[in-house]
Amino acid sequence: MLSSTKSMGDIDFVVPPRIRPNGARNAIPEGSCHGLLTMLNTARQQQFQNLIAKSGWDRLLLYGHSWRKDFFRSLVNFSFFGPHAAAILEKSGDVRILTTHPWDRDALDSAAFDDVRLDSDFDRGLSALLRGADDQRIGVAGLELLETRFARTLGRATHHPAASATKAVETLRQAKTPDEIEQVRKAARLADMGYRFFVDTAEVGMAEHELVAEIEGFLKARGAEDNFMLIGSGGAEVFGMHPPTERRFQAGDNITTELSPQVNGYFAQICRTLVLGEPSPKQRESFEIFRKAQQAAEDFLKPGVNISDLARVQNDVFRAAGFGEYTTSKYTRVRGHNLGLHPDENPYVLEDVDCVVNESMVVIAHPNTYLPMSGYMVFGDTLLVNATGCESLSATEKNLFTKGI
Amino acid sequence: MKRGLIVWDRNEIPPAVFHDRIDAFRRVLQHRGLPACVVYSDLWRSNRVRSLQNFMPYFNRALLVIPVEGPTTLICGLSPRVYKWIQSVTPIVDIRPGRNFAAALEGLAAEREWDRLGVLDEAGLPFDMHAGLMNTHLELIDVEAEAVACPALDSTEIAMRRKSAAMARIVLQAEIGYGAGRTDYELAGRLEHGLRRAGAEDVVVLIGHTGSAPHPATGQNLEDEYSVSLAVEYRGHWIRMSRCHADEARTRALTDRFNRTLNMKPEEFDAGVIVEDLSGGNPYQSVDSRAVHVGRLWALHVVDDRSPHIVHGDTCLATPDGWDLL
Repeated sequence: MLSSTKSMGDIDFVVPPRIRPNGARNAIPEGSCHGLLTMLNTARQQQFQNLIAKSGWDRLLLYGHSWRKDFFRSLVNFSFFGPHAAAILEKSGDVRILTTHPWDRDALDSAAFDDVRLDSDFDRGLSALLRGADDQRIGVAGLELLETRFARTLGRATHHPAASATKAVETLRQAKTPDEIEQVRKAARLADMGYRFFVDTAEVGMAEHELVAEIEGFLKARGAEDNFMLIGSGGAEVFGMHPPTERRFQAGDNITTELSPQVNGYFAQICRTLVLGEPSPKQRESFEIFRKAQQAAEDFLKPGVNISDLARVQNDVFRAAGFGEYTTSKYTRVRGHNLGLHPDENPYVLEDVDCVVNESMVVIAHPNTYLPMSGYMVFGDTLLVNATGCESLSATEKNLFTKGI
Repeated sequence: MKRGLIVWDRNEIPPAVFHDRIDAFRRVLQHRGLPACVVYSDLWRSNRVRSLQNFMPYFNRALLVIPVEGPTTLICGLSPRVYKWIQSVTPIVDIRPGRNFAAALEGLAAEREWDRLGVLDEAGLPFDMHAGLMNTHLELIDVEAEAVACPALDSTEIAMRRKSAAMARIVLQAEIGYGAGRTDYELAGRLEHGLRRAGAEDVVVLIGHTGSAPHPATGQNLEDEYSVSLAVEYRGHWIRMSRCHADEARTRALTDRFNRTLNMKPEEFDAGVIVEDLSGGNPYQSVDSRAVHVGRLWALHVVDDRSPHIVHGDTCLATPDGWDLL
């Protein structure tokens, strides 16, 4: 039988009020939906202005492409169609935006941004945007993602190699603002609803990709703009998760999923394992190790601890049970990661990653790995670091889920 | 993001198709005296490697190495735990970990005694990866994308894109009316569900309404008049399609205008025609209509003169005889 989660009802997806950028000129037309589409993150704007001053830059460029929109969206929270977009933040706080699709330009232009440009040739548009930038120093968040031709254009325009602002901006983004935390909470609630639907829908004979299609439709209809999702099914022969295949579920399968809906730009994640039918003693024994490891992480996480130790406390549970071998990269990727505008943000929770945890970070701790007695299992919650510890944003029961067949 | 079915149906795309594409690539390398060429791929810019070996790095990056002789090698950021899955959906046998792409490529080059390598669209490599490769001892030679890809000459490519377009057309026709009186979230969810159940691998839904050009759903209520613009990927083959939900006269007028556009040369297009390139490294890329040329796939969208939310569009092949609607 399905283990129930508490009823959460419909989520109220009220988008935060659009905040006008410095120097904004336009009134928002009555009835326009663009105000709901686009917002300038003014808290980040101020942080980034401080970063510009501290780093001796003249401007900060935040780049995004269709896969990694997160640096762009950390200032201008708009899900562009793309494939490219850039926002330039001046020392004064003024924002200029370059888009490559006319529909992106239209949406941003009517959302009261002062300077929104369109050039389907991003390289040419970048060159025009930087005209007169001779001898300026520009920090670029997302420099590593730029096509090399774009980085060369930046260098030619300024006569300086572009400076990477990626790490500095990532570090600022690790601690979420109150508005951002609100979005992550909504995403976590949607993840709970999505997982409940996942358990309700999965059945023997259904193909992995059919279940995923059901979940995608469910989440989109309730306001997810995207969802990062992996799945695995089977028994002790399963070593990980992957995109959905044509494999059909069988009695006794572990069905593992990492479900990560994105709401207004921000991802939350939940990892759970569902057994079709009565779990075997080995499946139960295995899951108990995952449960203890995740609980160890949740008990440990607080401001001031190191992310390497967050990995260690999870791995220690496996070591104590005699399964230390299965905490290595041969069997698992990470013991968790940061969440935000990208579903897989730095820092990764690994014993060799040195990063001090701060309040308002949002981390998923998931000791997902292979164990020989059960195959690959997953278990994890989205955790918000508060002043004294952390709060799980996931309301779904911390169980090995089972479904009668 | 990818979460649909990624599969290799050998009846749909026989192994010989990938073999022939790799052979054509090799002939270019031989002509240029290059021992091998590297092709970049990531979650979004996967078209080129997908076309050559059906590989899709579903949340990661990869380099495909095509030698003039011998099998291809994949250097891949994904965990070795999924190599079995990769081998089940591609003809690739040799897969190597790519935590450090430059070191992995340098190691492969040392094994094969290569000191120079072609790089497909060298300036298109991500900056960090390019910087890493430049720090190796290898000489990197640019191979322009146009030298090795011509969709118009590949009947399988066109057939798969037609299949993708047919799937999108059926689902969109069946579901577009569902939105009236509901939120755009509900319509987006319905389309996502229908397309993924039909086998779509990736789906992007834009909805235009109340005077706004198509954009991602925001939870707004839809009235009687709106448009849906889709980007749909079926087994690595992207198409674009836009349809409006409006009264019959308006819908017919827009469709007629789209059909008239299909009888025009690109230089005759008016400002209300949006053109996208569907044959490049990105799934779609807006372009100036003057960039259109024969032998590539393009999306054409016509926008209503008075209402930017009313759109009709489709994917077409530019042929010497005119537009071929997929």
